[in-house]
Amino acid sequence: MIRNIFAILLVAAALFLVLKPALTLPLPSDAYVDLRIIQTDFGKNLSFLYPPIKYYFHQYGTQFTSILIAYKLFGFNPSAYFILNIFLRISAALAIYLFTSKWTKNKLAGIIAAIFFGVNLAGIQPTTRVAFFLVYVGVIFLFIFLDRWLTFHFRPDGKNLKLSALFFALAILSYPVRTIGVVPLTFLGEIYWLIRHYREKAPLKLPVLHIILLAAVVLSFVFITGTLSTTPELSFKRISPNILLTSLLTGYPAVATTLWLFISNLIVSPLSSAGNNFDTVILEPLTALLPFLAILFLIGCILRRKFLLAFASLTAAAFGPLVIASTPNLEGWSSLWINITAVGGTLFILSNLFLIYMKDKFAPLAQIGLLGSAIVLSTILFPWLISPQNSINDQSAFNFIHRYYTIPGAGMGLLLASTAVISLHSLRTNLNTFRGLVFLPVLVSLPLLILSFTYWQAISSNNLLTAKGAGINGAKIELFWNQIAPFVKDIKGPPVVNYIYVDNKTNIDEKYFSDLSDRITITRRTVDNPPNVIFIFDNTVFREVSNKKNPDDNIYAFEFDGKEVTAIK
Amino acid sequence: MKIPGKIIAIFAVLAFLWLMAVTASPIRPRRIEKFTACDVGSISSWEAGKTADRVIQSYQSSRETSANRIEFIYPTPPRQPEFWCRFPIPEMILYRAITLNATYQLNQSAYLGIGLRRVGQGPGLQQVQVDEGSINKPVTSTWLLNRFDEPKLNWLSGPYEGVTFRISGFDPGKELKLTIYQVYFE
Repeated sequence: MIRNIFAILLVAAALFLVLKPALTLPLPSDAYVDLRIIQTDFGKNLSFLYPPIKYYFHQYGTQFTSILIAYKLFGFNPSAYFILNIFLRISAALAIYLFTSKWTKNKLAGIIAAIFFGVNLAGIQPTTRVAFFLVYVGVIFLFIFLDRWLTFHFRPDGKNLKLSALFFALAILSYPVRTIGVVPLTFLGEIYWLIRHYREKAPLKLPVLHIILLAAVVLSFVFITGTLSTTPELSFKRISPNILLTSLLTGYPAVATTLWLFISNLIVSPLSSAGNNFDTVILEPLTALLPFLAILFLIGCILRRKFLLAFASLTAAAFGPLVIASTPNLEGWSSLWINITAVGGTLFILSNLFLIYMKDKFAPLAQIGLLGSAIVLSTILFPWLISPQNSINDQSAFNFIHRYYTIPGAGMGLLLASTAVISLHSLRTNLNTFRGLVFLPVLVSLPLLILSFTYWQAISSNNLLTAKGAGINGAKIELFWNQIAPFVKDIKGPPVVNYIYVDNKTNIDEKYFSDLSDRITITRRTVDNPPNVIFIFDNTVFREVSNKKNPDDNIYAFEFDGKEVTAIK
Repeated sequence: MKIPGKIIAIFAVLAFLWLMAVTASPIRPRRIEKFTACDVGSISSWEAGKTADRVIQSYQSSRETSANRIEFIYPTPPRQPEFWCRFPIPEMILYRAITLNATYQLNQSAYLGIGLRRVGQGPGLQQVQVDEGSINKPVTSTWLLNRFDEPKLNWLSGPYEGVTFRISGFDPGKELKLTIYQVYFE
């Protein structure tokens, strides 16, 4: 119990240390977009009764409901949003810790998995965008579901049957577009468990009832609530299966490599703290080292007469060189992306093969690691198939901080933590024999690489949040807003143009002032017909506008030194 | 592991190696020679919004197909004339095609934008400028279908219904006349 509390405090403290710089950030522009949407969806009075009941079950219903609740509680207070966000992110990491340490019977695995998820730069967007905090609630529900799911299948009973189905529904409902991959994963798992129960001649009544209940949840989400049914937007984004299959089989375009970049980004952060030479000093040597480790693993498998696994490890040995060889066909890819794919992909494949190899000796750790791997693949692949990348600025493999990476990050934590812990445990036993010595470089390298990449992810996240806050203090923006609010409260709607001149004597980026035009719109509840507010920061432009403005137009002018706002007359 | 499991595992490993090997040495699809994307001889397959002040004329020659054309004449042009042709485009044709091409003639310098049309949104391709030297001369412009910032694979869910044209950057005080001779994929 005391060890558990210590571990929880350790995880929470580590994550807080990494994420702390977010607490002073101002509200990002994207948050205003989200706050505008809630006024459209919930009406001018922001009433929960405004949308039809079906709204709460549609793809983004729960997300915008959570944003509305936060807005009603916090208004525009950025610190409150970031505190809530980081609290939920840490809570999600703790849910991963509790799940992993329980099922692997190993606290270190729980700590590594939780920290890996919590500090991961890939998918940090729900934190930087701040209003997308519900995805962390989705992660919590997902891990409660996984816990009840496994408990049910190891000891089938009525209570866990109901709890498993309930948390399955909650995990999907909390963020349908992110958790859609959990559905095929769960049903594949159900088929596996059904076969296992049948082979063990265990009673099938409850497992069958469980599948029926889960199917009923999914079918009701598809046909009754529409949570998992397609929308025109989604159907237009969906990749044609015919084209996808053709592309995969012919390698044109190199879609397989793009998908591997998705997976690899979860392990290797492109914004590394290891300096500008991260690509050449660290990744490039690893592209050569990892295939070598895979070959050693292959030899080790042959020595232990695991021929099929030896054959399978050809995939790990060949992966990196094949990615490098495909460079001429990866139009527009930087060498960093190619090296990330080669390194991250090989590490992912090697970790899986390693867990399969160790599954008899370290069954709980290996099984949870492989479950993590399945979570990565299903929660990356299915959302991507439904809504693939439109451009490098959208949900693409290249935009590695995108919110689509959040839930796969949790799965990757399980995989890497299990791999690292098994490697560390096996070190001593493998020192005694020649066959063990062949494995030694693998056993040393895997945990070393996993812990190093976790550390680099943490530093990268911390750097990103610190850089976002460089020269900005959210409190100063709030100070400015509070002082100008009485002046601009009577701002007029169209066709009147309202010019707000700010003599900015601080080093705060002008865009944070300009974002306040959205705040004026939201405060006035006029999203459907927003007032025309133009912020001016250049004195010459201000003078020109003052001379040429329409008589009905308004001009407000302020000087701001970071402490006080002075109205200029 | 039992024999069926072993066979599946061996097949999965070979399939994986194949998937990765072909990215290093892709089997590029057989290129289409030419796929017509709009029927310039059929006026009914074109739509041009509800601008009252415009004339659309189509010419079709049974002897000389190169004489086929469709003309859009705007005596007082709107700000951004837009029109489109209805023509089903199979997704496999788009997958195999490298470029979309159009041969056309404008009576004043302007920008011509082109996009693939489907219910909702299609990918917008970049616009080309028709400069003074190309006025009143047939010009063939080529748009690359695969752009790095908008990988083609991502918008190939189809079905595509035709091609949209948009003209901008012209002198609104003058009559605007666009003649389209052919629109095709290659």
